Amino acid sequence: MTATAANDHQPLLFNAEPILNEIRHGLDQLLAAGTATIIDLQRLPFGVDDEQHLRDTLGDGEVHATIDSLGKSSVQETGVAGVWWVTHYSDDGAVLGNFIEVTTIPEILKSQRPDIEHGLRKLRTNLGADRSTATAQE
Amino acid sequence: MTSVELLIWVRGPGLQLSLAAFILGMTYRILQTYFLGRAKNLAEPRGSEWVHGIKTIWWRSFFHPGMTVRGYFTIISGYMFHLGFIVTLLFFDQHIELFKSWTGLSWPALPPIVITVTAVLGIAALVAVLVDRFADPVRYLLSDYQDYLCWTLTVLPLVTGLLLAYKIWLPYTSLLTVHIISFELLLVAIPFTKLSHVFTIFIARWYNGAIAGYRGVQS
Amino acid sequence: MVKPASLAEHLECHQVSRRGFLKFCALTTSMMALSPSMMPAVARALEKARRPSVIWLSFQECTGCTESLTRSHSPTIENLILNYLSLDYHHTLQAASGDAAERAREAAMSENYGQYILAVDGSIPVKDGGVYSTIAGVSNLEMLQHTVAGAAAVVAIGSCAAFGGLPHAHPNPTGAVPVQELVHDKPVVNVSGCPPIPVVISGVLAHYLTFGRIPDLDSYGRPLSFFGASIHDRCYRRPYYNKGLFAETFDDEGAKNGWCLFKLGCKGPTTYNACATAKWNQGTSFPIQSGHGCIGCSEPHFWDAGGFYQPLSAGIGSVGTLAGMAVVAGAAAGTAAGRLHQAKRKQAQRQHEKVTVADLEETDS
Repeated sequence: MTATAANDHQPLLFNAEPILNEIRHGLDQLLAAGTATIIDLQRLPFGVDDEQHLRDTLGDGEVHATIDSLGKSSVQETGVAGVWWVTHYSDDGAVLGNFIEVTTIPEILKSQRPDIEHGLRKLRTNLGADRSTATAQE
Repeated sequence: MTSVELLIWVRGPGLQLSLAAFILGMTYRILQTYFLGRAKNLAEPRGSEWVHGIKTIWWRSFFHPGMTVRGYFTIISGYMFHLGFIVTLLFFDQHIELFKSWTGLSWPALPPIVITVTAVLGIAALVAVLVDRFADPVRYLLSDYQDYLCWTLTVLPLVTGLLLAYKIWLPYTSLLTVHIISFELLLVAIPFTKLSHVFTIFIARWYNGAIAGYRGVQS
Repeated sequence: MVKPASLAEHLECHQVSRRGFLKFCALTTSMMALSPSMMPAVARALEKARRPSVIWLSFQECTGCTESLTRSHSPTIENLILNYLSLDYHHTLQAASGDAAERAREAAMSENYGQYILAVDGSIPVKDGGVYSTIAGVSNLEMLQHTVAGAAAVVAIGSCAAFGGLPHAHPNPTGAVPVQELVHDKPVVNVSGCPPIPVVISGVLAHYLTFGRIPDLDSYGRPLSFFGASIHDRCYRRPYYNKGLFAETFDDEGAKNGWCLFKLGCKGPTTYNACATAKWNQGTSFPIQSGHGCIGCSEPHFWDAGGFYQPLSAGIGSVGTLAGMAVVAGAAAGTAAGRLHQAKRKQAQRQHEKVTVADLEETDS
């Protein structure tokens, strides 16, 4: 982009600093009371270099996860532990949602109760089927 | 009428009508003054009326020590207001865009922060002279409604402009509307109040200078 | 096919896991421009949400609004929302045409009387009995009045439906009016823009689907969550405006440096819309990011609000003729007044008589 090329030495930032401060505040909250903070990056207007600045400042962490449900999602812990970058993609790879979650683990990574129940039912059915097959063989 | 419709009106017909009223009024006042005429002086002047008239228009804009016996308050507040107002009016980039749309002429602007300072100085000076007008019994007695009207019409564009620049109190659309209206009221009022000195002061100064430049009779 | 009763069941039919549902809720919350803290409430509401019927009427319009919606940039999620809505009549998108199409509308109306959402794009011409735009021989005015009677709420999509738009621009030959001037007894949501941002259209529909009511509106009837801040307030070039750094032309150094476009006519300060955050073309950018000022398309009367390239601080229209007339009139009046004064003075001089001491003594006594 021309705008970036002309400003190589001086990044055009608009909302990166306020977001970083909100993350800092979120981490304080997380340590003090265990409350999680979610920041919807798509609701905030970004300057040309804001997102890169956020990524550079937060760095890359230890956990990289991919979810495949209703399109792909990537969940990454940043270099700052407790700060997660959650991005949802459409089937054709367009970004649908971009969130920063300040939490010990993003909710969407956890197994969900209805899914566990569904899985258990499936397992039971399969086990039942196995047993009946086994009984039949006896 | 919604706020958007009002803004379209003040930027369109409102601005055109107030500018027309200003031009009509000023042309009227200047020609009327011109036709008052001067008593014909049949003697050949020793000096030059024109050169001295023009020189005086320029030199009277500056302060000369000994110009006052009444202290410096009026002088300082007077300079502060007039410079603050003129610089704010003529050197703010958005104002230059307006003049450019009228005349096709444009010139470099001062940074917005400088304009903020000149506007604040202008307002401060206006407040100071108003306080002084109330505090000084003679000045208070001499003041009539037109003085307060002129003061209000002059301070309003500065105050609303400052609010607009920093988006204080109201949404931008409303503040822009109010600011333009305040300017239009001032435009309409100038020719028909003592604010007409924005032009007539130059006639008066020229006349003073011309008399001085006469320097008696050529012999 | 049996229509699913609730959204949760609908998603289950599509074999979407709870995790997928959470993702759906996060994205719907984001789409409605609500705070992420609202997500649990959105999830609870969406679990119970019922499938609404939508009837879409197109009047004096260019189909740009429909084009915008069908090019919405998040196919997965928005498709789910849009598939979940029952779009029962849309004469551009539906397969049926002619009498069959009109029958579909009548059927959807009677099946969901009092329940359906009426989406309208385009303005309604009312001059000369509304003859300037008709569908199947029925005037737009008549069709709107007939269809709105059974609607739960009306969504006016695009600046034409919301504010009159292009057909309403001066001199408005067809007497075009926006929906809100004709509908007074039903809630009307204005999703303005030329075209409106697709995510705002689906966001409003999602809001109705989620909460069963229309979102909070601003004084022009637009959803506050999208139209609550001006383009200027959300503009990343705002710091340049504050510093007084402007592009003077579209190809000067300022333009290349990405400076503020105010002097090139940007209407961002007086325009309310979500372009800076929702963006256009699959989230690529929005006009200002692409180097062109905002033209103010989501505001009422934007076609009549002066040139797109004229700065906001400059006036609308030319002042030359009126100024010239003012000079002539002022000169005539000034000369007349001056001459009158001179005549009076001359008369006074003619009538002037010398006063003697005797005269004065006479007066004194």
